[in-house]
Amino acid sequence: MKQALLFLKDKKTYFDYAILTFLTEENDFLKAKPGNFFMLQANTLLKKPISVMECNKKDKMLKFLVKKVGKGTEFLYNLKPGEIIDAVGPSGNTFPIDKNSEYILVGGGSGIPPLYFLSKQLNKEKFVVVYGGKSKKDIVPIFGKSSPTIITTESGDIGTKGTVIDGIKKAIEKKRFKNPVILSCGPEGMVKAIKKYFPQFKHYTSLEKYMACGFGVCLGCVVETVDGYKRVCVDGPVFDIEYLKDFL
Amino acid sequence: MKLTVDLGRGLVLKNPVLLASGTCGYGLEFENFYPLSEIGGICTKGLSFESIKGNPTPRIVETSCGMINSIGLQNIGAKAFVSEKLPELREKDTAVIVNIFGYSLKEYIKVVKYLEQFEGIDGFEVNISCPNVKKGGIQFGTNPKMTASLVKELRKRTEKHLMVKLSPNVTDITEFAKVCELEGADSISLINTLLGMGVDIEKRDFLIKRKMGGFSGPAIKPVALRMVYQAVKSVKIPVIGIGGITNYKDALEFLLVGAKAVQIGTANFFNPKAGKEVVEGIKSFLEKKKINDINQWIGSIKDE
Repeated sequence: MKQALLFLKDKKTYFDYAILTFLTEENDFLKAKPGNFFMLQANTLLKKPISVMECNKKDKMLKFLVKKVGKGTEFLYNLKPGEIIDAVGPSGNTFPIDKNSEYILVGGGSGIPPLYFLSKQLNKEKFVVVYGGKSKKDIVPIFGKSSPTIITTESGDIGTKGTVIDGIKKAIEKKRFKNPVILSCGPEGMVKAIKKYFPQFKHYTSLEKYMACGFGVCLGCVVETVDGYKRVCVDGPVFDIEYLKDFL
Repeated sequence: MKLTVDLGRGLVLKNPVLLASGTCGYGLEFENFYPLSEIGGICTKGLSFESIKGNPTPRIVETSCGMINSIGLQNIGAKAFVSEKLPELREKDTAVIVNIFGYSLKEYIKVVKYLEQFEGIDGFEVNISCPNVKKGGIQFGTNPKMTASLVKELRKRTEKHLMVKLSPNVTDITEFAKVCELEGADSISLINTLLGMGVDIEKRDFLIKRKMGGFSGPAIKPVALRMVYQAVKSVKIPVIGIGGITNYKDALEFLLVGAKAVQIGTANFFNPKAGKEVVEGIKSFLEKKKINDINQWIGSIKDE
């Protein structure tokens, strides 16, 4: 973990979302893994935790997907190529992956970046992405056609009409997965619903929490687990769902 | 260039910059950003004898130029600190000031008695000003009689430097400063957080689970500067300035009005390099002003 600068090379916007492509000279920044995040400087006092969507050592590139939800994320959304921001990271753990298991990667809205990042590292035969949102405005076109992806929207204006629960059912059917592991990131309601409908599957979820520092000292982002409070920033953000009291 | 400051009873800092309790964990986390040897010292997260679980969430919220926290003194406990953190921390070339806390006089005594025996602890900072727990803490910091008896009892039990961290949530800070001096404290540090609150008009709810919390950050600096100045004027023991220090200029302001050292708090969260940057900034400022000893700057404000 380091503190260093990020140079915005390129930005693409899609409704309330912006894909920010930064360049960095900090080698430690380029060790980011799926699930890791950075604290990005905005126009607020505290930096904002934003999950890594892509990391490329060769090009010294880090990519983030930001959704406008408040003052800080709006500032990041409005950044212009050429601008430089201060950042701290990478922070956090990653998803536990073994080569033999089959995975369903479930992302809701702005929860998709770590799963997108992870999908680039998995064997295509071994996973499906389920990407859900309220309408097409929540489904940022980041996945290529070759990536096994099921899109669900509540409005039905893109993909299957329904929720990620319908998407997961479809994924299991299509891929004939027997005992898939679910890896999720999204709103608490979505993660709870997945747990309720598919209690039989091993399930790891990446949590999003408000935090002041992002490197383990403020103790503001804690989550209650069966072993007491744990810090989302450094003990997580990825947790086995059986470990989290909010989901028991 | 001489940056060392003497806080008394053997606690000499290589420079007047400390990291404030509750914003730097147990110190080691900051080695990712700079060697701890760059700064004068660290004040650890408040330690109680037994570990404390802390408050329910949400615990923090950002405000205009500041933040409110309600962590509730979550800590690993004194024994775990000694076995898990101190061995590595004491190897660092920086002062280790252990912030301590108890729910009662007995508990304060217990933690000091236990930690007193260990080398590598350069001093205690007694937290009598945490607004985030139901009992203890701030009660000792807002009632001068309780402050007096606590300092008196702790003084009897430690040979180490005894710093008392004062609460700004009082009418007259000088009353508390004087009590600490009288009962044998070696220094006082101030201010701890101001009691604050935030609400959400959409959800018609409080932003912090326990409703009120400790308000900190740049927004509180003028209040802190005023109180530090008042404290400096009322006692002879060193005063350590805390409150909204973000850069070297802020630090120089506190030193100018007479603080012998400063602590950086909330800034550690959003700029983890702040400690190192403040030291460097002070140094180059003094060079520019052709002042070769920080002690010539401390308290040098034109004040008639």
